Amino acid sequence: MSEQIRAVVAGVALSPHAPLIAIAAAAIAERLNARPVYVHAGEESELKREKLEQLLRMAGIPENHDLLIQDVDPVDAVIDTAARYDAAMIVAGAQEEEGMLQRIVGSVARRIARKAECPVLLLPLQVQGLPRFERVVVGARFDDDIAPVLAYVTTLLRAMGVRAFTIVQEVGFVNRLTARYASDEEREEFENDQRRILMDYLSVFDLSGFTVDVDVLEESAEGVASVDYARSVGADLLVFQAPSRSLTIWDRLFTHPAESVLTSLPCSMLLFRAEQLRDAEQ
Amino acid sequence: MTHTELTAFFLALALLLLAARVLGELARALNLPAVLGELLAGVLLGPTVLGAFAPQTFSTLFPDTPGFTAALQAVTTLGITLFLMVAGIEVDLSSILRQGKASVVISVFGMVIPFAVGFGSAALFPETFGLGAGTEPLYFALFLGTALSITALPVIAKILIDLNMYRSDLGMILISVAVINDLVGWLLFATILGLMQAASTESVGIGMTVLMTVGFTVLILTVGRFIIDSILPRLQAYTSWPGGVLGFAVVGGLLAAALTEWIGIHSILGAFMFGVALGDSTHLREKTRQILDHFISFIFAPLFFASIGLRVNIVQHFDLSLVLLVLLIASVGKIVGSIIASKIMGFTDRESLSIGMAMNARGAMEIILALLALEAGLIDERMFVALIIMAMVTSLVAGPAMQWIMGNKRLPRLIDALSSKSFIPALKAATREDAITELSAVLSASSGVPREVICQKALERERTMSTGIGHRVAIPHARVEGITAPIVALGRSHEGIDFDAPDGKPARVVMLVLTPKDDFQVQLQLLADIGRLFRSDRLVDRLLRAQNFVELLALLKSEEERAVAATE
Repeated sequence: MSEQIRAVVAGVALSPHAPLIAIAAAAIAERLNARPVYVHAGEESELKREKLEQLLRMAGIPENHDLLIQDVDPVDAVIDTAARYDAAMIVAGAQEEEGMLQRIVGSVARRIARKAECPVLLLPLQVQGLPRFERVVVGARFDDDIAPVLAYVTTLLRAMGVRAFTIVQEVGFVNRLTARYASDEEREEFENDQRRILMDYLSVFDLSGFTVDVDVLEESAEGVASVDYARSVGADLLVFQAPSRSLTIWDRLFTHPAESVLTSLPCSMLLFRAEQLRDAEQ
Repeated sequence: MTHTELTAFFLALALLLLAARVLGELARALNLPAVLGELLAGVLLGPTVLGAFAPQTFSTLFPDTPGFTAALQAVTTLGITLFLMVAGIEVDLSSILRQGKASVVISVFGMVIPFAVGFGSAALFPETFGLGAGTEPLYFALFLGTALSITALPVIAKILIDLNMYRSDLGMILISVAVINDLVGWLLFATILGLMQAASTESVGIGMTVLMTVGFTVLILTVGRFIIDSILPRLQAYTSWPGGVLGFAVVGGLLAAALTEWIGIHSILGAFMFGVALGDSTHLREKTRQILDHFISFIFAPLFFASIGLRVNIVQHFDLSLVLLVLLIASVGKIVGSIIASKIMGFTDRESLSIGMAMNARGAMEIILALLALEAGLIDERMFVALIIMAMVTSLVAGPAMQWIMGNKRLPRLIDALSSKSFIPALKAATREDAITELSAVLSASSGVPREVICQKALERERTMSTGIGHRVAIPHARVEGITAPIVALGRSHEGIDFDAPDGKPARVVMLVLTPKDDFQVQLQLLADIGRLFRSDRLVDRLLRAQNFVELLALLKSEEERAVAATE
């Protein structure tokens, strides 16, 4: 997969957060061996281009980048550019919490994450400096084959320079519901069993070069469980799988696990889709 | 209430709760539903036993005065309302909407058929089934249909835990079906009660009642959910835990109950739907739910179930032929309906039968339904007793029946999936692809799944991520349609085959692992078993020296025992 990586796309505006996102995008692009592509949504003018280029220069962005100015909705600008470049990743800055009104309308970064066909890295604007990926949590729902997910995630994480991660298994609502009727001992036994089975199962995969740990989260709902876990261990990156389609208003109404994660970012978040797994296979 | 009434009231509550808790715990210890013990407590303290043998003591303890009766009634009504709110919390609406087709189909069939049986029986023979005096036969028929179509989620959950089946595909389906049943059953029942109320008071029309039921449900599941979801995090941030959220939950449940009662649909619908809306919020912590649940399950519910025995003389109203009749139509409708649906969804005979037996359990929900119907004058005492006995019998039978049908399910193990026919002592293949093709052929012969299908699936998987696990072992694997249990072909290679293992060693033992298409858990467990067995070179050395299949199996068996001993 790494040979085909072409671009890392990031939105850029004349805002105080812009340099930070631009720098992060350039850093990620370098790691992924890709070209940073910056997109600005607005009317094209010489002056604006010059201002934006200046902003990028001041941020220390290397010369080998593209800067596109498009007079369309910012979300469409980023998504279309990513599709055109067959981007390896979109990098976007996001508020940590999504406000009530924004939950209906959607902030730019989250709207991108809901629609994008490539992985989206959301960086919380509160975090200063370059994103670090030392404490990585991968939230997984083992209701389908984990093999392609693992294959995809490990390839991506390896390219990003990640050396260790924890896979947390989220427990679906049916199992959580049943567990409520179990005694504490029974529950503990189940969790230990599950952890052992997962560890044994992981030994089936080639995870050389990684330090991998597993945990089973039976307490809270899918999505929320991973967010809480990431927060409690002080993770700096949470990797989460979104459904293979775009997330819609219905997923916000009847909270999809990926929406729970988007609502409140515990740290930087990498959202990827099932269809990207298939692309990676080809 | 007078001084004497108040004394009797507290004494009665204390005694009821004490007896209910003691017998409930006893039932639990005997692995019976706690509600059985709680009901029995009421029977013992009520007219059936205490009233019959010591009428003086009985009337002192439970005086038949308006004040006392009203107070007890108030406590039990509150109990039911809160109990239903907690039941509603269990219904995770968002997750249900994402459940697969199987749960929906089984749930619908598992309700429609018993409903039709109940409705038909009651419509044809209303007197036989104890139609309440002055009740419209249509409502009675609707009620009996509903009463026969519900399922007890807690009973099923407990059985699945006891049988260690709750992570299995079957277990997951059963639970989601039961949750859907709960949701539909309560909506249906509340609508019937609302219709009755509308018909009797003639305050609002029938169409209006249905409209309001639907309207309320839609409103609380959209706007209501949104408001709850917005309030909860703030409560959690700014109020004491768990006081803030608990208070909010109970207040909300009571308000919703009052609202629904006011607009002419039954209060239980309000409490239940508020529970659904609350439980759907991702901000409701499991711990909070647990506190609410304990408070209600251990205090209010036992009081409520025990109070049932106080109201009705079980012996006097016991009608054996009616009990048997109700039991028969209830079981036939539910079991047959569930079996048909399960067969349609591709479950085996054995699985379908056990789904039918599980869904047949009625449990506590049936009892609440029956009591509300009795209070509403829908049914007479004979029918009430018959329904309670039916609820208990179906719950008691479900667990043992399922265990008997399914046998003892163990975790899938490699040694159970191997057979002498699928052992290739010396693989001819020199490449990964050829090895998979060679092993696919033997598995195809024994399972009937086309070789090309096995091959293609296994190779597809191989391309995603290599299955060489190191220590000279490779385990290509796939999930395929057409098998119900895992099967494994084991081949040995003299030269070794490159499977791109992390330790770089070519594979000398290649196992092709096939598991049923829809059962990811089995694949996970079986591969985990293999991963655990082959953690060192030792077993491979010995497997390569084995003279025949029997020797190979014996080696694996002893290794399996060692591994089990190590984890225990």
